Parts: sequence; structure tokens; C-alpha cells
Amino acid sequence: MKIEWLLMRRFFWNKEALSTRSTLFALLGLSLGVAVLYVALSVLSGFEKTLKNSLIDVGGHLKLVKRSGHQEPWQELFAQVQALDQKVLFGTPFLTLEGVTATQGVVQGILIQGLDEKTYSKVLKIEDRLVQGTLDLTKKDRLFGAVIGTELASRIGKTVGDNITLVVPRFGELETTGYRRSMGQFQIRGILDMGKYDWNERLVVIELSEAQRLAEVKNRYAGLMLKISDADAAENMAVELITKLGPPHWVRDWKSEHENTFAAVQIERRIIFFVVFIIIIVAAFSLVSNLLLQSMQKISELSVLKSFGMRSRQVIRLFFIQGLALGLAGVSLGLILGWLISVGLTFYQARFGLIAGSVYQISNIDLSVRAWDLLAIIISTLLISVLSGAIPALRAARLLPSEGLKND
Amino acid sequence: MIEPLLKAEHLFKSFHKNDTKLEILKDVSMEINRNESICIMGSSGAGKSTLLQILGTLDTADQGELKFEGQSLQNLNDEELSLFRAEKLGFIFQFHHLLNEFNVLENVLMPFWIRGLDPDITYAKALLEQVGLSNRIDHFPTQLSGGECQRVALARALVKKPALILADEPTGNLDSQNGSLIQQLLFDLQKESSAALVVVTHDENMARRFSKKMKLVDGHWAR
Repeated sequence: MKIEWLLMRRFFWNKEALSTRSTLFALLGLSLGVAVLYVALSVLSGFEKTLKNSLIDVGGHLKLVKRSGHQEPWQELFAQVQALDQKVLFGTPFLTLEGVTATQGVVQGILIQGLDEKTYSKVLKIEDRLVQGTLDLTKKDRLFGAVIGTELASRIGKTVGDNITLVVPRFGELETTGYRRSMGQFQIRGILDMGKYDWNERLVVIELSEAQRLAEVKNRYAGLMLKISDADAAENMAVELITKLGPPHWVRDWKSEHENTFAAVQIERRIIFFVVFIIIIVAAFSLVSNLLLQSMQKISELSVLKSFGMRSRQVIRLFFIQGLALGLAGVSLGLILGWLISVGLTFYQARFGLIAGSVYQISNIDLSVRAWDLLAIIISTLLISVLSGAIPALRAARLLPSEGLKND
Repeated sequence: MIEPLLKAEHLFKSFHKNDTKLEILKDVSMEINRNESICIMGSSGAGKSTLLQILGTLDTADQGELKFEGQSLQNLNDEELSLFRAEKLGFIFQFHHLLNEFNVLENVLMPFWIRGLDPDITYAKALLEQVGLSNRIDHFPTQLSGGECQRVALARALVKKPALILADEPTGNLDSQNGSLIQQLLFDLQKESSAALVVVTHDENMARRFSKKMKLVDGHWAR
């Protein structure tokens, strides 16, 4: 094998050989294919990762709920859940309410999330998503704190320090078809980028006790948000907990609310891989023609080497190795190029907002490539590069030494 | 009875060109014995080079048999043929066919490397000294003259101490002075190595120095 590597290096990777345009174009084609594949998969993985992080950071791994809500102390419920499964690490009670906020004649539908200030940070990671202000929900200067999404802040034209009025519709006691309102004024203490557009547009986080007051449910809460040891095991754990707890309890994992989106991303990933891989296959044809050209250029050298005892399989190996070397160069260049494009895209979207959040759910993708995707790009490109050496290799190997010597 | 080193029996070879069959060799037989030097002469197109290539297993005959030390070479596979060429034969071509990407010493060592053997660097350097290029071992073929390149090719052909040296017009591309030098070196080195030598040449002066002279005319041996 050593001599094949040496011949490959000296024959095909010298200044003269590399200055031929066919080699450069073949490499460029392959690199571009790899770069496009890298970027496409980065976008998809980034979308998936961004959405996943957003769902977990703001909603926890699991949500244990009951239609009528819970009345027992949440610690008791959590202890019961933890006794059923040791993988449940932390829990925090929550209450979600539909409501509205009105400012200067603009009425905005909102989703009020009541959280227990003492425990939510063990389950949720919203502190990382703070864009402005603090996460202080406590009462100060007669007003409790509220944290709102970036989009909502922009729509109602409010910022940290401003007051916001939250209104929750309640069934009327005298007239069952009508509503009465329950309202409260809060001071905006922080602005969050929750990752998901509809949350940024609607979510308002307040203290659980204040949400209970607005909903007039006393100590009742909707359920628990749970943190478990492995986010990817959430789906199975949800099924296990439902089975163990039984009705009327219900457990939803972070993925279930966007199951279709995640399933679509998986399908798109495969489709995009194969579609973009066609570019690499096309580039491989130019590799084949380049290798054929190189085999023709070196035919007399190979004939001489055969006359001194070089085996046909060594000739075959030489071209396979050259295909592999071109593949390695193409993959390396392509990955660097793909990474640079990704960095550029990240910069560009941070500055100019490339993605319409109202359409794609998220407005900012944290571009990232999965190790498996990277491996798939590298292996498939190298495989096709090595295979592109097959035709020139077999052609050169089959040639009788006398045929190559006739050329001179 | 001692077997000849190489025995060719009833060799036929033809090529097809534009639907025309060109018969190059017509029933050619010959024997090459150890230490023997044979010169094959003939006009252009007489089939000299084709015969030499068939003798060196670089080409195949349409018919006929080739035996080396009594063993038929007909049914050898690629692996066996390449081993045979590596161990028994040394080739010198009209054009030196050195690898431009390798320096002089590397070119001479190439027959070892090709077979994955430990190179006999001392012998390679001794050969290069004998051909007067010991001070050029680091030079590349593009830095040498045609005569110097052919001297390197000579050292390369002999470095593995072949039993049979096959040379196809080794002085054909050289001026008379370099041609004479190559001739002298070829005979000296052949004598030292006790190898058999078969040379295809047009050069009558060179031909006089061989122990056996054979002439091909229109694909046959001249009578």
C-alpha cells in the first residue's frame, strides 16, 4: 500500500498536476456539493434543535395535567410521580390561562403562564432567554412582576418598567352565557426571547399565586412541569406515567405538541440529503473524467512500472486511493466552505432576520450539524469518490504494458 | 540436457487496423541461453519490438508458447506474471521512461518498492557509480541529459540482478558518443551480472558485439 500512496502523491498531487483545471474543477464541484449538503442539513438540524430547546426551556420535558386541575399540594403530587419513576428529577406547578391585554385601543390575545417562582428554574431554562430586565415576578411597589415575549412587547409598545394590564374572562355567576372579567395590573420586569414565535407573541409569565387569583381557582393549579434525566426519553416516559397514573391524569411530552413538525423535519432531512447528494454524484462524474484523464497521462509510467513487476491490483489501488484523496480534499474543503456559509447565515439572520417567525414558528435558527449527518456526508462522499476511481482503475489495470509503451 | 533460459515456440502475432489484418510475427521460434547475448535486427515494422515485448510478457502472442527455464508462461495470472517480470527480467526501452516525479536514486530503487521489498541501496548506488552518475542521485530526470537518463534506466534494469535483460533499441534516441557509452556499459554490466541479453537494434556496429545475431524479415527469421 505504501508505494501506491507514494505514487499517488508524486503523480497526482504535484504542482503541475494540481494546476490542471480539470482537477480543480472536479474538486470544486465536489466541495460545493458537500458545502450545500452541510448547510442544508445544518438548517434542518438547527430548526429541530432550536424548536426542541425552545419547547424544553419554556415548557419542560413533561407536563402532567388533569382536566379539572389539581388541588392537593403540588409537592405531594410530585412525590407520587417521583415514586413511580426515579428518572423524574424536578417538578414545578403551573397554571395556564387564556386572556387579553389592551393598550391604547389595541387588544391582544395572550397566554398567561403562572409559575412557582421558587421552583420553576429547576425545570425551565428561561433565564437564558432573557433579552432585557430580570425574571423577578415578586411584588414590588404594590405590583407583581410579569415577563413578556419580545414580539408582544413590540406589539403593545411596552418595555421593562412599564405596567401591563391582564384580563382573564370568567363565566358569569348569574348569567351562564355571559362573561365577566378578572383583571390585574403587573409591572413588566423582563423581556424574553422564547425561541418560538407564537410564545414571543402571546406568552406572559407571572407568579402562580397571581395566576390563581386571576383565574379565581384558589390553590388549584393545572399540573406539573417535569424535568427528567433524558430529554429524548420523554415520549416513552410520558406513556409509562400515563399508564401508571391512569385517568383523569394526562402526560404530554415536549415533542407531542409539535409531533407533525418533527416528523416533517425527519422526512425533509432524508429527502434533502438525497436531492442534494445528486450534486455530489454529478461532481463525481467530473472526478471520473479527471481520473480517466490522469490515467491516460500516466499510462506510459504505469506500463513501465508494470514491466518492473507492478501488479494490476496495485494499479487499481492507486486510482482508488487517488479517488479517496480527491474525496478527502473535496470533503474537507466542502465542510470548511459549508461551515463558513453557516457562520455567514447565522450572522446574516441575526442582523437582518431571514426567517418569518409567523410562518416557520421560529424566527431564528441556531444552525448546527448533527454528528450523524456529518458522518453521513463524509462517508457517502468518500464512498462515491472512491467508486469514481473504479472505471479509470480497471481501464488502466487491464491495459497491457506494451500498449502504454507504444504511446511514446 | 540444459534447458534454455527462455524458449519461444511458434509465435504468431497480428494486429487489426481498419479491418485489415497485419501479421507481425509468423511462426517465430527462438531460444535464449544463460550468459548469451543476442541481437535482433530487422527493418522497421519487421516485428522486432513486438517479439521483444512478447518475450518480456509485456504483450501476448496470438499463438505459440513461451517457456522460462522449462516452465510455460502461458497460463500465468497477473500476479504470477508480475512476479516473473520483477524477479527475472530487466527492461531497457528506446526512450528511458524514467519517472519524472522521482529522483535518480528513487527511479533505480523503484523495482524494489513496487514489490514491497527492502531496497538494496548499496548496490543501486554502486550501479549509479558504474554508469557515472553517483554525483547525480538527488537529481530529477528533467535535470539530466538524454544519455544520462538512459544510463539511469540501465541501472534500474539491472538493480534486481535479472536473469534476462531485454533492451529495445537502447541507443536509438542517443547521439553516437552517448550510444557508444551505453553500449559499453550494457555489455560490461551484462558480463558482471551473468545475465542473458537480448537487444533489438538497427545499429550494425553494435550488432557485431553480440554472440548471436538474428534478423527478422516480414515476421520470419531471415534464412
